[in-house]
Amino acid sequence: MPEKVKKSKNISRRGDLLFHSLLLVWPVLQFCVFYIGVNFNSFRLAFEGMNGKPTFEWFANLFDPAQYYFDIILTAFLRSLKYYAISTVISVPLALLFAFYIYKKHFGSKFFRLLLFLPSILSSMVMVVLFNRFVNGALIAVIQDINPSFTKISLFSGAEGYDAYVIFFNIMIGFGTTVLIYSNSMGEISPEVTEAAHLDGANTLQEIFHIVLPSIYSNISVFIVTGLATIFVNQYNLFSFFKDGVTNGGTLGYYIYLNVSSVAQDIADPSNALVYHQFSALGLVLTAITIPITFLVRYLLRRFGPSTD
Amino acid sequence: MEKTKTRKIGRGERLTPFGISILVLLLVYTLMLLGLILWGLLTSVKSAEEYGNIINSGMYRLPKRIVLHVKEVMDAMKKSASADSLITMDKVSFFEVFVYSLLFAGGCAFFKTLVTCLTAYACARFNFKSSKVIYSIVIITMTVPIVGNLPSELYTVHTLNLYDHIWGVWIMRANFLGLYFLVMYNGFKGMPSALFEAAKLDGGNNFQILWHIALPLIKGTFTTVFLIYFVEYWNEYQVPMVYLPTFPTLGYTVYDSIFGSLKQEIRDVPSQLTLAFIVVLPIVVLYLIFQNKLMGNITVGGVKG
Repeated sequence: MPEKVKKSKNISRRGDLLFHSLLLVWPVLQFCVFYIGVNFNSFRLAFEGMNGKPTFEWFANLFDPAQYYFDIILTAFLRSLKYYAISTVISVPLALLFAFYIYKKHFGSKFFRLLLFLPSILSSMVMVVLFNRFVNGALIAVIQDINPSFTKISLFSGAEGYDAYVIFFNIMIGFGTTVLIYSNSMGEISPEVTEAAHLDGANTLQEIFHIVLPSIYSNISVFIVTGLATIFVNQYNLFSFFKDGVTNGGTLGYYIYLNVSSVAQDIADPSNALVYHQFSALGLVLTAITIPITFLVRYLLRRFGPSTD
Repeated sequence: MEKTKTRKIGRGERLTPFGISILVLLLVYTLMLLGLILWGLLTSVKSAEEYGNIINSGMYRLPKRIVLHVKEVMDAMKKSASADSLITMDKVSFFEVFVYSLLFAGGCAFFKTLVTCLTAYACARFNFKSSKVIYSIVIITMTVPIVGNLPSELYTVHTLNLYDHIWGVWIMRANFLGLYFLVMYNGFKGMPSALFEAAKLDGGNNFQILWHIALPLIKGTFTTVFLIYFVEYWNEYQVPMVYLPTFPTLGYTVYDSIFGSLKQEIRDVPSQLTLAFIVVLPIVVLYLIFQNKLMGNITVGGVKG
C-alpha cells in the first residue's frame, strides 16, 4: 500500500515537473536570447574590430582626447551626474512633503494625489510639447506685454538656463509614483505610534524625523538606488525637447539613444557598424562604473540609515 | 505639549502651520500643472490666425471663437508623405495609426503581463530548484544596472528578422523580468494551498487548477499590471521609432508633428496641441475609469490584487 502511494506521488511529482517546465519554456528561451544573448553580444561588439578580430580600439577611443567625441562624452557624463544630483536633492524632499500631506488626509489630499499622478500617465512627449509651447510662447508673450523691452525669444537660453529648464520640467512631471508609494507606505504606520508621540509632546517635525522617515526609509533608499542605477540611461526628456538639436551638451542616455537610433535601419552599412561597436564599448564602461557605485551607495544607505526600532 | 494654532478641515487631521505651508506648495504645483493643461486645451480650439496675432495677445488670451482642428489633423496625417529618414511609409491614415497603437500597446502589455503571470505561477506553485533560480534572476537583473545595450539589442533584432514587425516587438517584450514578477509571485504564494490540494484530490490536473483556480484569483492583479503596462506602451514613442519604422503609433505622431515629416502638414500650434490631446484622450478616459486600480493598488512592494 505505502509503495502504491509512493508510486502515485512520484507520478504526480513528475507531472508537476513537466507542467512547470512547459510553463518555463518560453520565459527561459526569451531570457536567453534577449538578456543573456543581447548582453553577450554587447561584449562581442565592444571587443571586436571592423575586421572581425579582437581589439581594444573602441575602449581606447573613448579615452583618447584627440577623438572628436571625447569632449562630448565627458560633458555628457558630468551632465548626467549633475542632473541626477540636483533632481534628487530637490525632488526627494518635495515628494516626501507632498506624501506626508496626503498621508495626513489634509484638505484636498485625494485631489492632490490624483493630480500628482496625472503626469505619470500622460505621454512625456505630449507634456514636453505643452510645456515648450507655453514657456517659449505664451509666457514670453505675457512678459513682453508687461515689459516691452524684453526681447528674448526663449526664456531659458544659455547653458545654466537650459539646465534649469530641463531639470524643472523633469521634477514637475516626476512626482507620481514616488509620492504614491511614499504616502501608501506612510499609511502603514500604526496610528497608535503617532498618537503616543503626540501625547508625549512631539510636534509635526519631530513626527516626520523620528517616526515617518525611519518607517519609509527603505522606500526612499530604493528610489535613490534605482535612480542611481539608471543615471547613465536617463535621457531627462532631452530627445523629446530637442531631437538632435542639443547645443549645450546632453546626458549620456540622450547621446547613446541619439546616435544608435540614427543608424537603426541598416546594420550592414560599415559606418553604422562602427557606431554599434563604439557605443557597445561605451555601454560596457558605463556599466562597469555604475555597478560598484550602485552597490556602494546601497551599502552606505543601509549602514548609516535610521533604524525603525 | 507644544501649542500650535490649528484648525480642523474635512475628515483628515488638523492642519498645522507646517501643513499649511505644504498646502501652499501643492497649490502652486496645481496652478502650474492645471494651468498648463487648461492653456493647452484653450489654445487647441483657437484658429491659427488668432494664436499668431501678437498685437491682440493671441497666445494667452481666451479664444474669441471655438475652432476644432480634429478633422484637419486627421487629414494632415493622411497627406503626410514622409521625408524623415526613420519613416519609410508613404501615407498612413489616422485609423491605421490608431490600430498600430492599439496593437503595439495592447500586444506588448498583454504578452508581458501573461508571461510574467505564468512564470510567477510556475515558480510560486512548484518547489523546484528552477523556481529559485528564476526568482534569483529577477532580483539580480533588478539590482545590477546594465547601460547601453541598445546597439546590441538592435543587432539581435535585425539578426532574428524581428525588425519592423509588430509581433517582433511583442516577442522582445514578452519577458518575466521586473517588479511585477515579485508582485504576482507573492500573490500566488499567498493563495491557500488547501485550494490546490482539494482540486487535485477531486481529479483536477495542473492545467485545470491553473485555469479554474489560480488565474481567476489573480485576475485583479493581472488587470492592474496590464493597465500599467498599457499606459506605458501607449505613451512610448522611442521604441516604435527605432524598432517599428513603418508602423507609426499615436505617441510617435506627436514627435513627428514637432520634428518629423508631419511638421510639414501640421504647422500651427493649435493643431499640434489638438493632436497631443487626441493622443492622451484614451489614456485619460482609462485613468478616470480605472484610477483605483492604477493608483490604489500600488503599495510598498508594488501592486496588490
